[in-house]
Amino acid sequence: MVEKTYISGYCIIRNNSVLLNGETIFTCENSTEYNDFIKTAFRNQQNPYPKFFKMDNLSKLAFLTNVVMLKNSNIKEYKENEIAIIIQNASSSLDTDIDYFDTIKDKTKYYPNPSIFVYTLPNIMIGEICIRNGFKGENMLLISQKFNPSLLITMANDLLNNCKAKCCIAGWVEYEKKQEDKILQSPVYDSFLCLIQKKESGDTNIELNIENINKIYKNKA
Amino acid sequence: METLIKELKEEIINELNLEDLTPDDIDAEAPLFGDGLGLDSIDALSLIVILEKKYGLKIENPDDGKQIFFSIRTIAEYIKANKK
Repeated sequence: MVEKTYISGYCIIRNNSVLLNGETIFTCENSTEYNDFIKTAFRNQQNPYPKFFKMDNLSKLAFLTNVVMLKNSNIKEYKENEIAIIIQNASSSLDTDIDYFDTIKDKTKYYPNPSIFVYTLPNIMIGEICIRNGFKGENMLLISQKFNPSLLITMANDLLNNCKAKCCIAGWVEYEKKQEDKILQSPVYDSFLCLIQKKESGDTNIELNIENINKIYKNKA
Repeated sequence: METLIKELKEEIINELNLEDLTPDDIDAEAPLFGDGLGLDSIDALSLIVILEKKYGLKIENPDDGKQIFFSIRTIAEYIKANKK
């Protein structure tokens, strides 16, 4: 029998705003560039971590979403190997892949940049979260054209109901590169992470199902 | 030498994204790895790229790396001694 699971907290970062459990906790003017927005939003959390500034755009987004989402959570109740992470996105690490390619495409200026190269895999964003928090549970990065809550719920419930994890951080973290030669002029970013547990705990306690997760993802809860 | 040290500090802050630091925050004599600036192995590779890209210097013997990259001053001394 599949036991009920619950969303005990969630964070959304999009349109230069940070939302915790549906409430806007930080926002910048629409004209603010992504890079300035994400760094200012991180500093606003007063959670010093110099390595944040070395991360690529995608990892910064996932990392900050997780920092905010775990605020006031009961995550400390769990052991490091009981916490799983499942994240979906569409553009993989393409933003950074292109930046890295720029460092090697000219044979006369061939200087492969190691600090960019290390971010040319999308699951590095999960790694950054795990390194900071010491999480050692199951983790997975899924590439999907759009947010697929059905798959996310199935996988999270499978982990929780089969005792592979006691809680699961799950969601969608997407960063699409600004393409100056195309119509897309601004980077498209959209991040949503929620904390899923078997027990009712935390600020929200929303039963995990497709309808509810769609509501909170669209911020219509 | 002091001009080169200042230039190196700015280059390292920029290339390694040490956003919370200014050149004045970095002690030119302090170790770059471990207790000092706290750089990691990826940063070490980035320092090698800076030497090649900006100063046209390649470290031929990897064993020399530890000594060259000990501090900002040791890097500056290496550049001064080897730059053509």
